[in-house]
Amino acid sequence: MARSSTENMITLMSSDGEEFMVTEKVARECTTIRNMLEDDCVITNIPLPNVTSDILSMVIEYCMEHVAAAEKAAAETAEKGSSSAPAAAKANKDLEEWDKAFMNVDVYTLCDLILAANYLNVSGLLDLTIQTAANLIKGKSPEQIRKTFHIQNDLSLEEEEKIRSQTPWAFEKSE
Amino acid sequence: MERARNSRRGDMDMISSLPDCLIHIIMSFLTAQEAIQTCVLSKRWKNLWATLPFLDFDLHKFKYHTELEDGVPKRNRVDMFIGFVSTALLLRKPFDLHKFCVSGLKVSHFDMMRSWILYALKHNLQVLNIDLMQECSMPPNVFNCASLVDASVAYSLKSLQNIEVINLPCLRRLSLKGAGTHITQDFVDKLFYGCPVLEFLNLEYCYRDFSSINSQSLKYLNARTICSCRETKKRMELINTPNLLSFRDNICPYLGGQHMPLNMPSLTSASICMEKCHYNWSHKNKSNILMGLLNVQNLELSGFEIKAFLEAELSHCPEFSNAKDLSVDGLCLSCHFYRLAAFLNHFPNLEKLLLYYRGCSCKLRVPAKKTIKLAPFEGKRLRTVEVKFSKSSKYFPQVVKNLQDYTKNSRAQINMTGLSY
Repeated sequence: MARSSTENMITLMSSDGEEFMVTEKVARECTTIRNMLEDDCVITNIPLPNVTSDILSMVIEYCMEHVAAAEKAAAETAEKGSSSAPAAAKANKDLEEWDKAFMNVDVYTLCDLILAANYLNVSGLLDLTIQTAANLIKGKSPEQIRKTFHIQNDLSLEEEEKIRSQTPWAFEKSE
Repeated sequence: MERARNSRRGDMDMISSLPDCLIHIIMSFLTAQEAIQTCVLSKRWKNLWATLPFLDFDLHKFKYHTELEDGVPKRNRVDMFIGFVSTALLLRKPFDLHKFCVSGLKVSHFDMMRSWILYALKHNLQVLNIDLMQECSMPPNVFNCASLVDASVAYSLKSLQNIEVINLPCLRRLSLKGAGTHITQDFVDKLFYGCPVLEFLNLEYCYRDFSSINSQSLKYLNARTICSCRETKKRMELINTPNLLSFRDNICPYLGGQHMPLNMPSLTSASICMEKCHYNWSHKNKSNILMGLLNVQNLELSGFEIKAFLEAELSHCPEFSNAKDLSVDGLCLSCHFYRLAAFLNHFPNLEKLLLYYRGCSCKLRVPAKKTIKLAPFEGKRLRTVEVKFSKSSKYFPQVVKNLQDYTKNSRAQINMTGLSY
């Protein structure tokens, strides 16, 4: 888009002091920032004390990809008069593939992204990360879940046995 | 995209430090059983499930283990499942339960289910999803719940006639799916009166036993009901839904009577299925259905009686100047192409046309083989014509030829895909 060069730039500052210049359009993907911009339209520098630089760079990467995809779809619709269904379906599939590759992270980063997406209120990213985390739990035994998420079992053997004996109804396993 | 970062903290337990509400959202994607089983992970997880506001119980996903006794399972799967649901509701803490889903049980367990639903209704229930195998009657309290936003009930509801009061001030979506449920006028009136913000109404496989719909709030109406005009003799007399955006219905000639006032000025998308029924479409029995759909942008027509419908309605068909997408299914394109062409002339701004050709079962075989001389389509905006066809039809090449001739003035591209069934 020709307009992008003159578009407002906004600086986002991570908790460790790193600065990221993004277009206003990308920043607006975060509902939290959009609300700030709507309250005070001259704001150009936004400190984000809850987000580290490596996580913030990933959130920005996600927002940029999704803004670019939406712009591309809009441009195609404007050019052809109407969007062709197969092209739109392909674009959607490409974006899904991108999301999937984007989620190829360790569980620590994943949880950090959940927190950041929740704080910045990026609904698409929050859905994506939550779904990814749920998929990591689905169909696994407690032992496997602990291993996946590095959860320390601080229950003593007796305590765990007690919980299991109190809730035998929950642990009906098909072998 | 490979990310090898933060190996130093890579084996820290981060998920347990998420706030409860985020862990609960993660758990909402699991079945109730999977969510509850996280209680043995660690001290942090021990009681997390007990305040979980989303519970999804599905018999088909229920995992259980039992010993065999003389080749027969000692314990019955359904009994185990019922015990599981009851115990979970008994032991959970008395916090809000926003979403409650149960599926897979039969009607014989409905007494149990009724008590669960009553429990859920007392805990600020917003989303209720019940999928039963047979007919049942809902506890009347379901229709008097201040917090309910979305209710979906599959399978027939016996007692819909006996409901005295409906008061669901927050209900936005209601879906009733079930063979044999009679939707009466009394129920419809009470429903729209008692649900002031109802936007989405789905009445699938129900009997249409009502004659008017009157709602200011409704935006999506799916009334793919079973035609029972022969028994009930109820004509549709009025559909007054000024804010309706999407309308899916099946219409038989009796229902779509001549004097039915349709007030749906906001409608953008409509899908109408022409039913085969006791009555026949005819010139004498004109309807004003097409007039009512005047402003639509997307129109889908389908059903056995589409040929007879077009025959009867073409004489007074309005011009659909907003329509961009049109889909026609059920018309034999080899024998009745000229009818389609005459209909298309009422769509001057059409951009996309989707046609289904499922072979010819007409008695007359003559026009199928010869090229028909027709004035070509005048619409300048037509870009794509998509034809979905069953591969077995020998008349298909002729259909394509006719279509090419007919659309030669527009720069439309004709795509063909085989139907797989």
